[in-house]
Amino acid sequence: MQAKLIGYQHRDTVIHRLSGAGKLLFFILVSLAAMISYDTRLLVLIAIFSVFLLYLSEIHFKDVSFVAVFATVFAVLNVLMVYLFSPEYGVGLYGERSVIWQGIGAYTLTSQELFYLLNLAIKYLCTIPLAIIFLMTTHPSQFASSLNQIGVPYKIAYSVSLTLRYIPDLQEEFFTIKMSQEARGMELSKKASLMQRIKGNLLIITPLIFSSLERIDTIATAMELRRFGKEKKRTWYSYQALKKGDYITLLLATLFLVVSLLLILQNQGRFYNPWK
Amino acid sequence: MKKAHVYAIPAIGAALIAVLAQISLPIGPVPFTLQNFAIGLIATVFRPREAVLSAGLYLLLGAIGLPVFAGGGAGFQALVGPTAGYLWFYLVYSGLTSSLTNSKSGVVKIFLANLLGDALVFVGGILSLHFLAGMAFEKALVVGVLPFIIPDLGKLLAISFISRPLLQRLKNQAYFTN
Repeated sequence: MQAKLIGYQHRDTVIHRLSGAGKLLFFILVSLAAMISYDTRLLVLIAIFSVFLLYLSEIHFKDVSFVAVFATVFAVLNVLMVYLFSPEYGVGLYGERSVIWQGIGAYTLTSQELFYLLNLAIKYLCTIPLAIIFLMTTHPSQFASSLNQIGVPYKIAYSVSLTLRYIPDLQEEFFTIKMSQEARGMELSKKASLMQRIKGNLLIITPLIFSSLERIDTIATAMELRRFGKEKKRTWYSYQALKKGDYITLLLATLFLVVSLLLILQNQGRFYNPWK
Repeated sequence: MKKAHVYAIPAIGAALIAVLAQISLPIGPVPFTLQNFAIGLIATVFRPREAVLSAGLYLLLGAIGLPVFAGGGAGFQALVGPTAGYLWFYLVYSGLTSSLTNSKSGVVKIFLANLLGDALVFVGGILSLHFLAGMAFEKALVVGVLPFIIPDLGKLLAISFISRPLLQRLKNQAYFTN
């Protein structure tokens, strides 16, 4: 946990200038489209478009490499897990069986299973870039107003803002406590025994939990003193109204979703079947 | 109780879950993360409404793309994929356990309440592995429950023993006084 969660990086690009609400809705709608469909043609199109948006946002790989690698490993594990538990799931879906490798026992390798797993992998390629773009091009203060703009009550939206505000604080506190304990002689590396490491981690986690929960009263009191929650509505310092670019964004997102649904009709199901 | 508590408490709770979920201990073949440890702790220490809001807020953050789920997972797919049941049943876990415990509960009661909540998370896990991943119930049990039982019992014990001193220490805060 050496790297921070990815965060906002200020740049002046067309993506940064879009409103947070527009970007959030785009992310939700296109993710929905990618989730619903298993039509490879649409998924590839969305994936290419997602990568193009990354380029447009001027997000460099080194900025996101930690999270990207982590998410990739997670996605690969997921795909492998699906194969392990359903090695011929694809055969059932596509109605044909083209064996590439006879394998061992139930673990054959077929074109159909590979094709299915390919679709799963592309889905990740569709949504991970979009999530990264939204997070890195939207100022954290705009997160809350974005949620409020799309209908989430402002108090809930504000809780989201508070959480985002405190995640880095708690992470930093974790490292501070860890270094303090190591300075007192606690050994956490592989040199230590398992029991020692468990005990060591508890010695970090316990004070982290205590100090996190202790700050609740301070925060709540400060909010009360500033009259939080007194009115049914509130204004937002970081509010950004929807403009032409945002409407184009929403139109594009709706288009993806509609195409996704239409393809279900055309394919007579969620799956595009090249063997039919 | 201060009105602002209703919104400050879940925020800190969700942040704590998000940070602890990223901590992974290298124990055994199954990844041992503190995600459900954090859920259980929040469920024990908070009241039902704030506990459920904490878990809900955590899921919301994951849904909009923040890499807050264990293993850095994020996005909608985590909430509709084969392991989605575990995540959704965190709401049940936090609601149930927090309604069964209060600031004066003993260690045994805390342990049993968390045991019940955690068992429901496994029910959710089995359901999603069966219906969303097409896995037979027996296989879902073997894959999705059995390997996690011992690590989870360890987490429940840790929750039980950490909660008492934690509640003692927080006694001077208005929210934690009953």
